[in-house]
Amino acid sequence: MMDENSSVFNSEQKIIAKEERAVLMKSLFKLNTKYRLAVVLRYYKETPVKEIAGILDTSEAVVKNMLYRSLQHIRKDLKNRGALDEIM
Amino acid sequence: MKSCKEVKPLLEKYISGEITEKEKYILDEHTAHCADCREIVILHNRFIAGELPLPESDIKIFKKMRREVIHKIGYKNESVVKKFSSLIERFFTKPAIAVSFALLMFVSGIFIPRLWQNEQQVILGQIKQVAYTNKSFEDVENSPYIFQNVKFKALDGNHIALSFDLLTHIDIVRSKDDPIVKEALAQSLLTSKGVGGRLKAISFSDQVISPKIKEGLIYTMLNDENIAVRLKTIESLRPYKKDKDVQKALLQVLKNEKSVPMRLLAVELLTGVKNSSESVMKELGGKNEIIHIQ
Repeated sequence: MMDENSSVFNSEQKIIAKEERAVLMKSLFKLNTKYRLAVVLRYYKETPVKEIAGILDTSEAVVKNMLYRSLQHIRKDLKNRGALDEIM
Repeated sequence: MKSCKEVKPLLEKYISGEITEKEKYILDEHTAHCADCREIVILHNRFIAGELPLPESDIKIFKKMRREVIHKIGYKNESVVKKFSSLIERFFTKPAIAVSFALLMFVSGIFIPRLWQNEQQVILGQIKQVAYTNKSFEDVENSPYIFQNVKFKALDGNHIALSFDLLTHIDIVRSKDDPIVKEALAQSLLTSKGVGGRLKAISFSDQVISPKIKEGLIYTMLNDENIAVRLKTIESLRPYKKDKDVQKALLQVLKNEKSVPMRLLAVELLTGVKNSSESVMKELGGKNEIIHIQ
């Protein structure tokens, strides 16, 4: 019984994680290419800000602003879709 | 208490991982009362903690294929592989012995055809052993055997007709899993003089999975002098776009590559989204960074 419950729990967790990913992907894809690339490089490729600035051929200050605005936009988009609580 | 506008620079520093303790204290004071800024901090923290991963189905498929290849070439029995490796290294890293052996084979091939047939089998056996031990692309570069004028022809779903020069010409048919096929493919990326030869090798690479071929493709994508070859290579790496080595190489493309189509493909493979060249060029080159809702 315990094993069945834990396996059901794990399946539920997987479903929740999958839904979160789908919700997040929608918001990510609404960003323009440069912003999306900055987010992917910072959070998924763990690239330092200095290196992102080199790749995007811009300054570190601009990259920091891009990341801030990207998070703002993702947050706003999730809120508009009623999905913010799922992620938070 | 500071306003959101005043705290914005601190938020940016926090997101970049550069905030000091004192600044963090000020930020925490603000987020205790401001839901909007607090939610941005939470979102950032979830990203950093890896709690919001991107889909990883592609990397799982590649890892499974790589495991199957490693199993087939006998990596499981590491002690046997190691013994053979040290034996081959001792014999073939002495240039005089390798050259003498090659000359002997060459002479035999011209004057003693029947004897050569048996000796060809011996050479193929030796090549196969070296191919087993050549694990990285660097090993291929330093291999005592150099394959020249490599030609490939698909016969059916599982077999490739392979021909190459190794001081004497060899025509054989081998399965796609054979180490000789993998070695020849990796070598042809290094030694094919003509663009056509390299393009052909790249087109076969999707049928033959191997870590050294993947490394060879990465090397070609970053170093080949011909843009058509580099473009074909970056396309051939598409199934492995989630692989860490490939991703590092794609970042190198973005940094160093001058060709616009190459940079567009690198962006597409890194972000997972296809964009029209016009819109991406406008966005990558524009100075007014405005978030565009698509």
